[in-house]
Amino acid sequence: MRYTINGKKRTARGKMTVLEAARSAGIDIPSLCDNDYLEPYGACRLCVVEVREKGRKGWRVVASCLYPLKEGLEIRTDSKLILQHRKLLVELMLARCSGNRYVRRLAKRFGVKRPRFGGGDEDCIMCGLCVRVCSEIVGAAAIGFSSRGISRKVETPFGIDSSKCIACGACTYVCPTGAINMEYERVIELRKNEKEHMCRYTLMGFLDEAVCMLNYECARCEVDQRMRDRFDTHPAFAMHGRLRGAAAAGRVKRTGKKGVK
Amino acid sequence: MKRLLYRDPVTKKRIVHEQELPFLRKQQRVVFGDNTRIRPDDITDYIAIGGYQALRIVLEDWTPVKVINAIIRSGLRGRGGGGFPTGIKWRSARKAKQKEKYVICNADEGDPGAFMDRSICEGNPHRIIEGMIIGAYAVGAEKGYIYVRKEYPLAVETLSTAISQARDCGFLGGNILGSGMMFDITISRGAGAFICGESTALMASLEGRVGEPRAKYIHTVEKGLYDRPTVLNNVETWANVPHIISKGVEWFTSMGTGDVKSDPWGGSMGTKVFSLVGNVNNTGLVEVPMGMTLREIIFDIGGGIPNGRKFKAVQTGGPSGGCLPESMLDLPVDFDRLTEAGSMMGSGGMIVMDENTCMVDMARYFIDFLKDESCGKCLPCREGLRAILEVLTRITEGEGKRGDIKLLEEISRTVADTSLCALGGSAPNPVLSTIRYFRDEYVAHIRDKSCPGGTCRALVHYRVIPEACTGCTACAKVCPVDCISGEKRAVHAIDETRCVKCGACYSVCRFNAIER
Repeated sequence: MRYTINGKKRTARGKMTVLEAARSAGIDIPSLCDNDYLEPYGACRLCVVEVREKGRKGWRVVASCLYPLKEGLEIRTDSKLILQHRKLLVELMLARCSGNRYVRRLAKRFGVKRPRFGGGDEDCIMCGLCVRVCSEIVGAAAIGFSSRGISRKVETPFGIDSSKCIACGACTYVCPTGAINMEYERVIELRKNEKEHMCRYTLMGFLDEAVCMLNYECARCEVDQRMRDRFDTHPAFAMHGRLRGAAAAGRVKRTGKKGVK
Repeated sequence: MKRLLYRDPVTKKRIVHEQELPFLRKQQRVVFGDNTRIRPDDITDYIAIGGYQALRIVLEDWTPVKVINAIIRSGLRGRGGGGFPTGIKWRSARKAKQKEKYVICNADEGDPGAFMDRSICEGNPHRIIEGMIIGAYAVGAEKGYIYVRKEYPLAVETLSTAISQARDCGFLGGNILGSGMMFDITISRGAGAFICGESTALMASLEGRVGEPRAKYIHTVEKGLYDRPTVLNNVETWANVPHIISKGVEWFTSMGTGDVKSDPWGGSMGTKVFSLVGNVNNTGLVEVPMGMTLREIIFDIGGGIPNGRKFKAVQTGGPSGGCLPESMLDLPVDFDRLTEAGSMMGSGGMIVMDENTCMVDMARYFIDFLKDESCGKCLPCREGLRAILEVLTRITEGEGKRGDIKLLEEISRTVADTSLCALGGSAPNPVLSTIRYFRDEYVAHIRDKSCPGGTCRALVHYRVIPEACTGCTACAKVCPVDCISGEKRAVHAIDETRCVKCGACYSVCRFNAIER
């Protein structure tokens, strides 16, 4: 597939999105809700670019994380319009999360000092990474979205304590703004309820049986520590091994020994 | 008897025949004209007026490709608002490789003040079903869904009855009319979210997931419901199909604008049902050929503006449509002209507003509605609409700042360009179109702190005009906070510090002695 990105002609092989193509071309497109392991979602819209399909006249603004790369596609990732859009999107995000230090840092990078409109002091930017990791990777589907519009929030079903949560911590790991935290009560509950000694690797479906004697004190777990040192990521991702799309091409280190079910 | 007849308010003549009513005279009721001729819960009524004949013709003599070509040539475009050529959609779905395909009827009519789909569902359900069977035959689908909102219980009931009757008569099921075709329809009820009228959100909802849209870079005709090729059309679109087959493409293209012979996008054919509401004498459903001017619809059919007031604007296309001013009244109503004018066809809502309407407040109202109905998935729609609403509210409360119009335009552009689905993409329309046509009202609010429409309370001031006041005391009597003082037959005065700006004095004064 041949395509043009910011005026440079390039070729690509296989199915990929515009975002992946741009990254493989060494062009940085900011994005918050994209993750190499998860299905593209298109919620933060920071990754918008302008594209022009072959044989079409007009440029369209599209989300590059979702837009499939096509033969003869022309892409502009840093036109004036796109930069304006991104800046305003960050401003809107800052208005929503005026006190969050991660969002403030992001805003600073985009040159947004103070939002021109009010919003709130939330931490969650609704990127949906936690919800998607929980259902797509961990398979627990313990959290989801409730309500709609600006009252939308991430919650356990009906907002009550969920027995589905396995306290694996993948959601807190992937949250870009530190909005989601683990409640230690859930860990205590898991310790009490399980007849046998359980381990989050088992509950995530990566190990058939657990021999852990630490009983959910993962901080003391030697295996966990070694996994972390080796893969530099949360075990949910390290063991899942199902990288998506072009990310599978080797951006993340993987070993043959997976020990996965 | 004559005294009971309807009297034309303009010519004062008694009208004998229904068709001579000014409201009906200019209408061409193709889609829902039969509503008055049949009982919706009896299939034999529908068959008696020639129902299911189009299906018979198609199944006996026509190939699916012939059906698709006929629909393409007819220039039928999606009546739900998008205006996508129906035949092209069908053709793509037919070409899609997967074997299992679906057809869906979108009866999740959510626009405030719109009830055209409802009237067809409740009045002539078999026409929709017949259209869907023909569509299913054309694209090769074996399963159909009607997604109807739960707030329409009667529509759900009539449609259910109609489906079971059609099944009994052999129009649905395993071997339709002995042709060997298999097709059946299931009714699915929506739970009341406005966003579920968007095609991908509707499909998500049908699948049992949360009704949230997804990007349509891969079209639903390739990957729709359950990732299978899916044709989704609006109620009115489906209801048009049997007519096109039985009466012919030429008949259909005889109504409308443009030329669709070479390009299906080249014009708008057939009729369109509008829901004419607001400050207009005759409100109700209006079906007119495409290309009729707004003036004809509002003044000839709608009978003009009540109480001798002046026309100010008409909002077309539902909450995310735009407002068109008096200068645009001679605009022919079709898909492309409305879009060019900064509004849209939408599903056919038409809200008429008189001179006592504030356009800024109107935009604020619609943004407020859309802000509540945004699903919240993508940032620009969720946060952008809140920001727009904040600025608009500030303006209507007299706190508008210099640069607010520019700010509104800036946010609107980003929301429209970067939103995930059409709700966000069209949501800024009410703001952008009012800024385009009624900029002076925004300026009046921001700079002069006055509201020309007289509805923004913070900006309205009531005063007695001493020359006109006769001292009749009517205003003083009606004032709920007793802030009007004055002796009988002497000039009255309003104490502005205590006035709550309810407007009661203004409407009760017979001498126009109170200004605002």
